[in-house]
Parts: sequence; structure tokens; C-alpha cells
Amino acid sequence: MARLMNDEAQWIVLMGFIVSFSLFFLAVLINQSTIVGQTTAEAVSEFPKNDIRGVRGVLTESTFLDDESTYRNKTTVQNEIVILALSRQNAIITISSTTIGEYTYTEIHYNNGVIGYNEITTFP
Amino acid sequence: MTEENGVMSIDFLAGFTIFMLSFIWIATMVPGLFIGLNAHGIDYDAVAYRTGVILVEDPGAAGSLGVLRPRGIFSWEFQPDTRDVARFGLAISKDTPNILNDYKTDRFFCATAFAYPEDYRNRAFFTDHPYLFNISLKETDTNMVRSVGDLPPDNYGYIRRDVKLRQPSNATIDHLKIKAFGYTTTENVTFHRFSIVMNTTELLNDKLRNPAYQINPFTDRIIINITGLEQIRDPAFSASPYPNISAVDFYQHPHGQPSLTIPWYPSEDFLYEDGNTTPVRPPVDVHDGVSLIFGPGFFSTVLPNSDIYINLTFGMNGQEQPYLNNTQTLPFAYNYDPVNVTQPQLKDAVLEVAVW
Amino acid sequence: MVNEGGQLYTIEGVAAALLLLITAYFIVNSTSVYTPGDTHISDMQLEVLGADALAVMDTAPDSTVKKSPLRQIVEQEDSVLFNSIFLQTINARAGQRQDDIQYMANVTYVDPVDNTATSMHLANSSRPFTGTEHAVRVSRWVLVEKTFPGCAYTSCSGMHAALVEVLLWRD
Repeated sequence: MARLMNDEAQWIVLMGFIVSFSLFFLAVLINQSTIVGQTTAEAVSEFPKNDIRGVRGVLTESTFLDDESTYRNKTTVQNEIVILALSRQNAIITISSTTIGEYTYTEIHYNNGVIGYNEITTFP
Repeated sequence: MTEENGVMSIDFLAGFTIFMLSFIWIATMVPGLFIGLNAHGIDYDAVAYRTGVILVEDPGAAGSLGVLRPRGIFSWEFQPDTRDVARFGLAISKDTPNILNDYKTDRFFCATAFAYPEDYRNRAFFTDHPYLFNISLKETDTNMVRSVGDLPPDNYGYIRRDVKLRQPSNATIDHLKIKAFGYTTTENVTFHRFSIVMNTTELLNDKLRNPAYQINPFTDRIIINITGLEQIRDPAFSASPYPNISAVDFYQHPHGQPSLTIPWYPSEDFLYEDGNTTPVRPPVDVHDGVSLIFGPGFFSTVLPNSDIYINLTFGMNGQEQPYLNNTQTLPFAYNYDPVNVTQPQLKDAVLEVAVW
Repeated sequence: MVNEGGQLYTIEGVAAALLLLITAYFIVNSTSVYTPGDTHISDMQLEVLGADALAVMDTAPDSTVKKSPLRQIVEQEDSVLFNSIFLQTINARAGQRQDDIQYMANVTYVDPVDNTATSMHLANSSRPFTGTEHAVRVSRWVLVEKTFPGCAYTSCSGMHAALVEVLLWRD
């Protein structure tokens, strides 16, 4: 019995273990590196840069429209922007406007679930 | 009797052989795991995209050494020392992405100003690894291509951006316009003066505020062509020698202050006669037309909110005769009126960045 | 002569070999094969290009033109003009050869009856969209003065916000 429990050959298994662990480590490294390109491209596509620029542009333009009784351009356009942004770009937009003295402050809040954008524009 | 010392048992040999064989087989499989792994090749596209954004959507930056230079303009394209350029950017301003400034584009592609590849790597790429690249700009109308860099190999990262390239404004005063504005005089004098005015307050701080369409006299190229002078000469004096431009004077008039003179750098030539490509200095004979081409930054030392006057003095060689003269009417205004000035045009162009 | 004293070496050797083999099998089996399409880099490039093309079309050529070409096209529903300008812009390359990108464009507006977003077809390239292409969508906000089809209210005329949406793909 004592003869069977011999430590002298355990270095073979030890070498086997060392090689396996190093292989696992390399596999983890390779796994991480192949998705570098993917996450870069996905990060660029995920960020709604052009959406935010576009929404901000049309909202700023709409603040200069008038609100005549016939068409109520400003209110109509801003409501349409909110509806379209929610249904086509999955973004919630709120607009509010306050006038203090000669300055008009327009607040824009944009949130598409991942990115939020808030801005206050002052006119003039 | 068999001794155990120094004798390898058969079983040990068998076990060790199995181990070595399988280890060798595993070791030969390891290179297969590294196929397609190329540390720098994996982000060629990402570097190309980032460079494309820097060039097309960013106006660039002058370095911290860009203190007040003789021009007084802080934008990177006016820095005479290339070490004062911190970052390239071709956009007119950060509010006008995808619209490129013509002078910035000229400076960017100028082979004598910046050397490929080091100057571009430090100012557009910002990476540790020395990538090679090719940046090309093609104007869709004229099919003119400007590029910097080598020809790309088979495998490269790529991005393509559609942009608008801004052309400078220009004014052409031909004989029809001279008649319409009433710029010929019936007086017979030996010296005639023709004035052009640029009201910088009206150009920069009035109704038109979009930098893509603004005419900025401090930084833009200003081109004024006067043609048809042969036709406005009085036929009675057609045998006499040609008139000449005896002087070109510049005045700046800040609002509410008396006129000052703008210092005129003698090294900056701007007068071109009759379509010749070499500039001349007054006095020079005038046949059919003259062109005044002021390079970008020519008026950069003018005080803000001033009117800039350009006075051309025509000498009649001592003979009293009528000629181009607007001292009795108003100076020709270089402004946003499309009748006076061809406004800055935005032309389609394509910018491609290849990185490898 | 044959002694069982070295049996442990054999057993250990076999065990180590088995360990290595099983490890290698797991690792090689788990390495994913990434095709270039999985990285979405080509999708990103196409999106950037489409957004640029719409931005260029929405820029007036100089300050005397009050409406950009894109807004005029949407107001007049001019699909021929949209087709020619968009294809030329998106397929232009710095070299000699042109690119070959196909598209399908819609205009999405708000139907005032029930305040929902409705789409109207604007233009498409010569190869139609069958639904099996791997396409990316780019969009551009415009403010246009237009009465959208099927609208009968008084609020139908006047200024409206619309979204020009274009699906782009390479064949």
C-alpha cells in the first residue's frame, strides 16, 4: 500500500496542469481580443449623435415659428416632433419654454433609454 | 536481483511517452488559435473612423504656443510655425460639421507645410502605433482629387465621408455693372479714385450668422475682379496711352473714430493685371481689367467692427479724361447682396481615409 | 523483471495526458469564429455615410437659396430628383470606380386623425427592397410646409415636422 502512494511521479500531472492553465489563459485573451472591433463599431452606432443633432436643430427652428390661430405652427410642429421621436427613434422628448424679460429660455430634454441629453438655449 | 536504483521502469517510460506525445500534439495546435489575431490590424477601421470625425467635424486647434502672432488670428491654418498646430480639423466651426473651410483644406494638403507621415500622425491620429494612411478629397463637380499619403495595400481600414467644400466669395465688376451703378464720371480729371468698402459689422454681426455662409473679411479669401475697362474709356482718348493704377490704399474706419490706415505688408502681393498669373505692384498700366486677390488673413489686423476701404487711384498720364470713378456715388459694397457679390458656394466633395 | 513499482508513473502520465486533451478540446471548441460581418464595422461605415449624404442634401448651396434641396424634394414629393442626387452623393468615391449602394426612402409624418406616425414612400433605387437584405437605417429631421396625403383637417397645411428615413444596403 505504501508503495502505491508514491509522490515521485506527481510532477507529470503538475506539468499537465501548468500547460492546461496556460492554455485557458490564452483562450481567454483571444476571446476578449476578437470582440474589440465589434464593440467599437457598436458603440459608434449606439450613440444617437445624428438623432440628437437633428432633434435639436428642428426644435430650435420651431421656436421661431409663430402660433397663429389658423395653423398653430409651433405647437403642431413640436407635438409632431415628440410623437415621431417616440415612435421612430424610441426617444422621449420634452420641451418647455419660459420668457423672463426680453430673454426666452427653451429647455430640451432627450432620453432614448441609454443616452440622455439636456440643453437650455437662450434667445436672443 | 534487480536493483531499482538508476533503472527506469517500463511503466514509467510508457507513462512518460504518452504524456510527451499528447503534449507535443497540443503544442502543435496552439498556433492555430492565433490565426486572424493581429493586434494592430483589428482596429484599422476604428482609427480611420476617428480620423474621419476629427477632420470633418472638428475645426482644429492651434497649440498653446499660438500666442498673438503677426496675423493676430488664432486658428490653426494661420499659424506660420507648424509646431503651433495642435490638431487638424477642416470644418468651418464646431457648429457646422461636414462643411469644410477652403483655406484649412489647402493648408492640410500642402506638401511643403506638413510632412508625411510624422506631422499628420501627431496632429490627426494620436496613436502609439505608427499607422500608414492615405487621405483623399475629391470635389464631385470638377473631379479634382487632392491626397496625402501612400497607396493603400490590399488590407486596410476605411471610412468615407460626404462633405460640402466652401468656395470663397468673389465680386466681378464688369462694364455692365459699372454702367448700372453709375461708376463712370463725366468729369475730366487726371486722377480717378474707385473705392470698395467692406462693412465688417454688417458682414459678421447682422442678420446672417451661419458661419457656413458668412463672408468673414478677416479670414476669408476676397477676390475682386474689375473687367471691361477698355469699354468704358472715352473713344476720343483711345489713341492716348493706357491709364495706370498709381496707388492702392487701405483704410480702416472703426465706428465713431477717425480713419486709420491699415498697415500694408509689402510682401503680400494682391494685384493682378489682365488675367496674368504673376502679381504686380503699382504703378502699373491697366489694359482691360485688374484683379485684387486678398489671401486669407490679409485684413486680420483690422480692428473689429470697422469698415474696410480699398481705394484704387487711376492715373490718366496727365490727360484729363473720364474713367472709372465712384467718388460722386457710393463705394462699391462687398456685402451679401447677390447682385454685388457672388456668395460663398458650398460644393459637394468626398473625403476618404484609408489606414493600414 | 517487470515490476509494479512504476505503475504510478504510468497512471500519472495517462492522467496528465487526459487532462491536456480535455482542456485543448474545450478551448478549441469554444473559440468563436468571428466573421467581419459580426463586428458590425461595415454597418457603422454605411450608417455614417448615409447620415452624411442626407446632411449634405439638407444643406443649401449658398445663402440666397432659402430651402435646402431635401426640403424642396419632400415638399414636392420629387422622387426622381431624390434618386439622382442621393445615388450620386452616396456612391461617389475619390477614385475612379463608383460604389454600389442601394436604398429605399420613406417620409414619416404624423397623421392628425389619431396622432400616429405614418410613412409615405419617397424613392428607391433600381433594385427593390425584398426584406432579405442586411440594411441599416438612417434618418434626418426636416421641417416642411406641406399637406401630407390623406389629410383633411385645417391643420393639415402649414409647417410640419417629418422624418426622412432611408434604408441602405450593399448587394
